[in-house]
Amino acid sequence: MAEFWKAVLGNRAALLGIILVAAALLVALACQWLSPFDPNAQYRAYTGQPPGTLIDEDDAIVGEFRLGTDANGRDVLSRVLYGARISLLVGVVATALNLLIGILIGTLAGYFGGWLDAVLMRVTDTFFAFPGMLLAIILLATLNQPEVRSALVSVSGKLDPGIWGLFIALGLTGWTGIARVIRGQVLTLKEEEFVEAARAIGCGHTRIIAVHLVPNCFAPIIVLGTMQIAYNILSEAGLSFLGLGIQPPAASWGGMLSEGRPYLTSMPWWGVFPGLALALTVLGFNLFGDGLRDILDPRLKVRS
Amino acid sequence: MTGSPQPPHQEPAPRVPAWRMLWRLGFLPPLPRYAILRILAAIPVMIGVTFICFTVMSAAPGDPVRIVMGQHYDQEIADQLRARWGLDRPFIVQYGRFLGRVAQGDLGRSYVKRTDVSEYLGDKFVNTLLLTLVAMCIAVALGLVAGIVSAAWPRTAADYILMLLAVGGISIPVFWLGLMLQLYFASKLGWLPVSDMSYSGSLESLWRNSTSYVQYWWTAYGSHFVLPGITLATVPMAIIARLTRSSMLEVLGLDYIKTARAKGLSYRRVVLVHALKNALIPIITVIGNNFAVLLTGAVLTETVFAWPGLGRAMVDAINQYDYPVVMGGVLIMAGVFVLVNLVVDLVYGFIDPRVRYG
Repeated sequence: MAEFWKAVLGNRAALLGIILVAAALLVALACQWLSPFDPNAQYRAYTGQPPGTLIDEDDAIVGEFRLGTDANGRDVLSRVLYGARISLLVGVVATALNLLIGILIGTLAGYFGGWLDAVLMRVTDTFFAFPGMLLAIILLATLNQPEVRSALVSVSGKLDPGIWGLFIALGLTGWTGIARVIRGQVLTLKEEEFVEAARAIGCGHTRIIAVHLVPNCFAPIIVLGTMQIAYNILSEAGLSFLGLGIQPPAASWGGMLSEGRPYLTSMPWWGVFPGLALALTVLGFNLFGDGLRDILDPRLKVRS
Repeated sequence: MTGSPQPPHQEPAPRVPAWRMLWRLGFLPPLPRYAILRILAAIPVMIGVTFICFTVMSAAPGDPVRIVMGQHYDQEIADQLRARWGLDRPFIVQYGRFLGRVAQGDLGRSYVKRTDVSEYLGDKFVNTLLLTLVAMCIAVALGLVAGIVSAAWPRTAADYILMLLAVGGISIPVFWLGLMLQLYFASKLGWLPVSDMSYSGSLESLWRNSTSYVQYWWTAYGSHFVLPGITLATVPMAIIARLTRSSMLEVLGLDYIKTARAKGLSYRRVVLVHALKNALIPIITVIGNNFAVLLTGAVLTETVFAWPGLGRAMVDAINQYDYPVVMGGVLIMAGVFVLVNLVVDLVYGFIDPRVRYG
């Protein structure tokens, strides 16, 4: 572990990635203390103010909209900070689902081989051939119906119920690459002597897979997982931008861009800052993933 | 064991299914045979894709008839429409009918647009194809150059800057980049049109006011491709640059490169001819893959630039429960995906004579 951190500190790109990721995580966890205003509070007297506008009450400066306000008088900075929570939550949960499905299918196909392998790989091919974000869009169009949304309000707490649709839509679409890599790893690993030894002392299939094979795929899992978080965060923002994911008034980066788009020339700060936050967060995960790959598994190529 | 000599052990001939013997007969040369087999193998994948799509769409609580009729909803006419579109039949019957029609080459009629799906989506597909070609030209040209420069002078300032740009390219949200380009080059500087695929005003008066055909073409069409083309090119460009660098670095470490240098060839010739040729195989895969992704997944760029392409048509159709358009579009996209991948595999053979099609 100490060696790992030494390698990370020696890799400037990975270090920058870790700093960006840590900052995004911190903001996501602490946004209610970091943000100066309630993200949904509308300051009617201050609609569409540029960054740095001071709040003036009875000739006393009581606050400042550091990144300006949107057309509804909401503080852009607070909304950007709260957006981090949605983005990271969707990125992490959807990636966890991706990994779960990918590892399950990859190990089953690679370990048992035969007809199960053939069937599972055709299923993977089918999902892989599904164009771009289209499956996610179709799933979301189904899951974001008013009936479904109202049924989910009670389990969503303070979050927008659309987040469940995003978990499922992104979780069900991004696992094909992971499944293929894991299958390849398992195919070579299962011929190794330690698997033979485990079988000889009477371990069952479940135990061999869970205790001997999956932990040995740790490097590709952690690298692909990090990259997949970046991809899922981007997809979440894209889907919310299309109006399919998180619905306004909830604060999400994609939703803010979508809302701010008509005002891009008059209030550019409304669209510029959430996009910047999004780009930096994704950059952090990508740099971190690149660094992890160089350190953990140099053979793993750039994902196509 | 008896003392008599055993006949030498013979491997039993592998059992080959009858239908595969047909191909073993070799009445076709290897290349077309390989292509045909690949296309046949894609059929189950295409069926799977349409089945998933149809299942999810049917599970949606929305009703296309309600969308089409809007506020003029009338129970009797609605029932007639449902019967005509087959929506009153069980799910599996509807799907079977769809497959039957597709087998006859008919994608059906759009509920909302009231036109043939193949005609409607054909136009959209051409628009997307044009934009994708422009974007891929930009991406391949710049991506290859950036990757080769980085690999030829690794660990220099140029390498670090180019690779930082590349990782930025895969990190930047394309729709945000598109909006920023619009904000700066279209709205602020006024150099390029903000959106749409062609000139929005009267083409006739534009023709009269133009001094040359080139100027007319540029204002009417050409300039509209610049911003969406750059936006769409960003991600593939970054991916190609990264892969070119790693692939080239791998090849440049091989012995035959040292031999070529040792016999006195210039570094430029070794990098651009000897190394690039062998580094190109994985790059071709990625170029093909990205081409397919752009053709099918340009929803966000098309939305930002109001481009009348396939991706946006699909999103509209999904929101309106226009099942025939969605199913037709999914079929076209999956087909394009399979075809592009096939072409990529065939291109290998031209680049690398060692590749054999079995």
